[in-house]
Amino acid sequence: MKTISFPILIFLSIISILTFNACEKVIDIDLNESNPQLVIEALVLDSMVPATVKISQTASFYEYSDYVKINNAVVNISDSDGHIFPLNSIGNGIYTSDSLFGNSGKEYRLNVVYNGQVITSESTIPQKINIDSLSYKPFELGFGDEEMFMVYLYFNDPVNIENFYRFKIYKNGLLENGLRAYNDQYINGQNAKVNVGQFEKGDTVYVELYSVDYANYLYFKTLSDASGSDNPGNPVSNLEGENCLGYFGAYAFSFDTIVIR
Amino acid sequence: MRAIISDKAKYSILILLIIFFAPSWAQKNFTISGQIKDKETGEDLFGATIIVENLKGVGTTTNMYGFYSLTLPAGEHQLVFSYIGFENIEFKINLTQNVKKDIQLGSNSTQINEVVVTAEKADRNVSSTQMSVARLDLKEAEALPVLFGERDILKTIQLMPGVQSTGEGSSGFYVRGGSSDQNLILLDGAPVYNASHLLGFFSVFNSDALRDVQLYKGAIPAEYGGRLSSVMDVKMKEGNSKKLEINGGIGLIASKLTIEAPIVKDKGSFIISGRRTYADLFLKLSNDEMQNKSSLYFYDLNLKANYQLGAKDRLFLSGYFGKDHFGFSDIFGFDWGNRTGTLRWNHTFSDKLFSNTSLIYSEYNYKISIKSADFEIGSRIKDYNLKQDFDYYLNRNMKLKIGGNVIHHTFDPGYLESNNDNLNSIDVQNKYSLESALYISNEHKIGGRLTFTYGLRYSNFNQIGPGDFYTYDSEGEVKDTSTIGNWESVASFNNLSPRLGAHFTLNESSSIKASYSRTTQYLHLMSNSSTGTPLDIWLPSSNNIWPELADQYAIGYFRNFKSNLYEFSIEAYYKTMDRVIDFRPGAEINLNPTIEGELLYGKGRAFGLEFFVKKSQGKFTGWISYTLARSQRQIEQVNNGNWYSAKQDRIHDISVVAMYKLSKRLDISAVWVYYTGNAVTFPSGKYEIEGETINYYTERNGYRMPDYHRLDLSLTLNNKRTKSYIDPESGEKREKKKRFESSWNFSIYNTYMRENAYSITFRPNEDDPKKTEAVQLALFKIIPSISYNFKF
Repeated sequence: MKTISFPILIFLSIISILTFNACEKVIDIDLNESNPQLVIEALVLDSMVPATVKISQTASFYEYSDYVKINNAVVNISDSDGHIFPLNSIGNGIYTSDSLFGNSGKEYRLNVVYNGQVITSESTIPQKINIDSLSYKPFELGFGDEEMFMVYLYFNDPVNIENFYRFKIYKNGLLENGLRAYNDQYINGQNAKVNVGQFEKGDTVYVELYSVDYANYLYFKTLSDASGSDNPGNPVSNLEGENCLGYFGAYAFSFDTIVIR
Repeated sequence: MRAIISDKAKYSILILLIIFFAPSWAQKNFTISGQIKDKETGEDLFGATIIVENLKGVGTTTNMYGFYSLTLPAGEHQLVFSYIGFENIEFKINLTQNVKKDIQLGSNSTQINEVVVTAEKADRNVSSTQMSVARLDLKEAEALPVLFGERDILKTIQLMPGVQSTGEGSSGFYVRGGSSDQNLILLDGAPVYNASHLLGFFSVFNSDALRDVQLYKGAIPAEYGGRLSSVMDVKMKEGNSKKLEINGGIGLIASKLTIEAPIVKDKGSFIISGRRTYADLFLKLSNDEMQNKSSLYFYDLNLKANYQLGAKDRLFLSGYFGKDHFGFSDIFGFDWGNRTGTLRWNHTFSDKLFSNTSLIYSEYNYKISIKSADFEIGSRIKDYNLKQDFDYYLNRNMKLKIGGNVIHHTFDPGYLESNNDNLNSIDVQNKYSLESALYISNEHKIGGRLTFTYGLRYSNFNQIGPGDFYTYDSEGEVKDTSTIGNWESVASFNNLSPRLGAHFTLNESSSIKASYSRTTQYLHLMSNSSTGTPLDIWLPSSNNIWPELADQYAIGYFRNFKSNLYEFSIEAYYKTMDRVIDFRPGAEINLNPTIEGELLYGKGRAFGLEFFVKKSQGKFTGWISYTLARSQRQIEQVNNGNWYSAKQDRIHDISVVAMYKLSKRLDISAVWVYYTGNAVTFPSGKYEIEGETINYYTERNGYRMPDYHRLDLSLTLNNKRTKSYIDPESGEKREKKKRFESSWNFSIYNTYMRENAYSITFRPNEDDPKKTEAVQLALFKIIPSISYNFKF
């Protein structure tokens, strides 16, 4: 009995190594406190969606994530024609304007004043790229009992210009992933096919495609690069001003929905 | 006071002159030269010492090919030939003419009634002029505990002072605060661009095929160049030129077999050594489809042959082929590997001049094929290197090394070949460059106590066409493009690297050594991981990337105790690095034609103290190494331009190695390792973007990983190496050595199951995303392994 169990033990450990069955546990690590930073997410879209600015503050890492919302900032967005649109606080750190809707090719300028702090940024809405279609097919690498489906998004990338994209993916009305950003390095001038993710039968998948400028692509690219990197850092922001984080995006917007049957 | 100093200066200049011109008027001198070899296998012994007993402080060491030359006054001399682990040979010689004398030293372990391994009177620590070198005794390394049953020299060398592991179980290493791409790893003179297998858990070096490993951490000899921090010179065995020898090993995840034999006895021999893992066979046993459809293996093959063409010429041909494969079903495959080849010609022009001409090929490539989406990604680096080295034994006090080389590099930074309508094919243009160098160095003995080693290395790096070349603005955007023709120069750099060393013998058992060396690095590793991955690519210095430079100063005290039973050394070093490379945030490394615009440049500094105590004789052997060190970087665009700790800034690093010979057949050993955790970046707050928790960082590498420590144990059970027989003449019972040797090795890695942090991630709790937590990943809790080795 003994002679058998030893090799088996080793084989088991080998298998556990090869399958990276390593051990994870939650640990206590003292982290420094930092001065609260202003966090701004500002968006102008070329559609009937009103311009929205969200302002909150950073929190300590171990705090429960109920971020302090800032409702008493002065926020306005101006366009390249010289129109200035004030945004009004509607509570919960959100500011909107009923009259500001974006146009492709126009440059917009964000101005936020809070507690004597001034934060500005600029962003231009690029050429609009429409979603061609969504499709799904059974997932080849699917395991287990549930049948999984891979959803794909198609759109045409224009050949002569450098394009940048953001995607937001919703499953059954809930945001699944809002951080994905791509350039057209691999798809320039192609009918692009983008893997949206795995879903189950009955799911409703709603996808938003934003055409964005380089600064917004870089922000979301560096944001996702930071997780899992050896040298994580803050994303490269297009906001100008002290002690602030976040981005200002002026985007062309397109969307589509598919239900997996 | 002043007068004394100037008198001393005059005196030393005079002495220098006398020594330099000594041969012209001194008494008649003759040269004794030849080759020193292992009696049992016929292998050359590199670094064997020859001491002239009757002349204090006179002696020499053999070069890489076992060649020695010693010029002595006419008359009678008492010579001692010795080498670690071998029996000394002593004899008297009456020099009346130049003499050629080849020596064969016998290994101690061939003695029949051997119980205790005794080493040679090892005063190399004190007497060698070279400092800042870690030399691995491959025999000694055999007894140490191993991970997964695989011996690995790159892991053993991490137990030396000043050498650090890049991470848990990894074969990558850092030397004296430098990064892992600043190590030049040479296999028979050919650079190995990616020295790891299986994502770093194994090195490309199959110990069975190796003969000698030296790591220069500083005071790098002038014949080496091309990397900032270190040179690791690995030499393959030449093959047994006396008889057929087969040895092999069966481990849990890999097996290996080595065959060596004479081509013509005592004139030529060859060695073939192969190794392959079969870890994926275990995967096949799994019920999980994800696992049993996966394949994951590597293999490598070492080949070498040498032939003595006459008394003066010898040819060597050696090669290495290695490949890693990782795949899943027929959906995707990922292959990477190194290939090297060396053709070498040794020629002895005279009893004082030894020449070595090499033609060297080296290649690394990777290829990923995604069959399900019909595309393939790959990259390659390829070198041709012509190298000429001369060893000139000018006289008894001066040993000159002169040489040079030219390398032609071809870089294919990456391509994507697509047969998929939704995906573009991309081909990043090849880059070409010529790297050449000339060097001269002299090991110069002055009197019985002082030796200076002074050398100069001149190097030129020329990036050549064809191709499109860009210039960039301060934001890294392309400013200008120009097209350059075939072999036209795009950028050229010249560098002079002085290498200076001094060795002063205090007395028979102690010495002081000091050195300065400047190193230049023309090739730069593009990697977003500090430990290295198969996808890393090398780029040449160019019109945008300047060469990296380093200056290192080191001083050390070397002392042996109890007639060399214990050796002790302490070394201090200070190193500055210039134009070290980092990346802009968001830098795209793969398939990026304008990657040069994504680089940031800065400075580095590293300093430390290294202690080393070793006992290499007796039943109980081992060593303790302790390194106290710092390593920092400053890059304008990183950490607000402030100095910050490099990842490998570990402060304390301790290794304790103990080996005990319990009996003729049983060896036990233990290794304990402790080091301060790496410098890392942890968040100092958090916020929300698009509904997701994002960590907020305030500084680069401002935190520490938890301290790392672990204990490994090993037990080696050897078969009975002798058999008894009755001597027919005397009728006495005698013992005879058996031809078949075998051993079982049982190892336990991380014996007390410490959960050493491999990584720490800061992320939302899975059940309550509004709660965030620090999660530590420990890779290997305890790994037992077993292997069986044989030799006959």
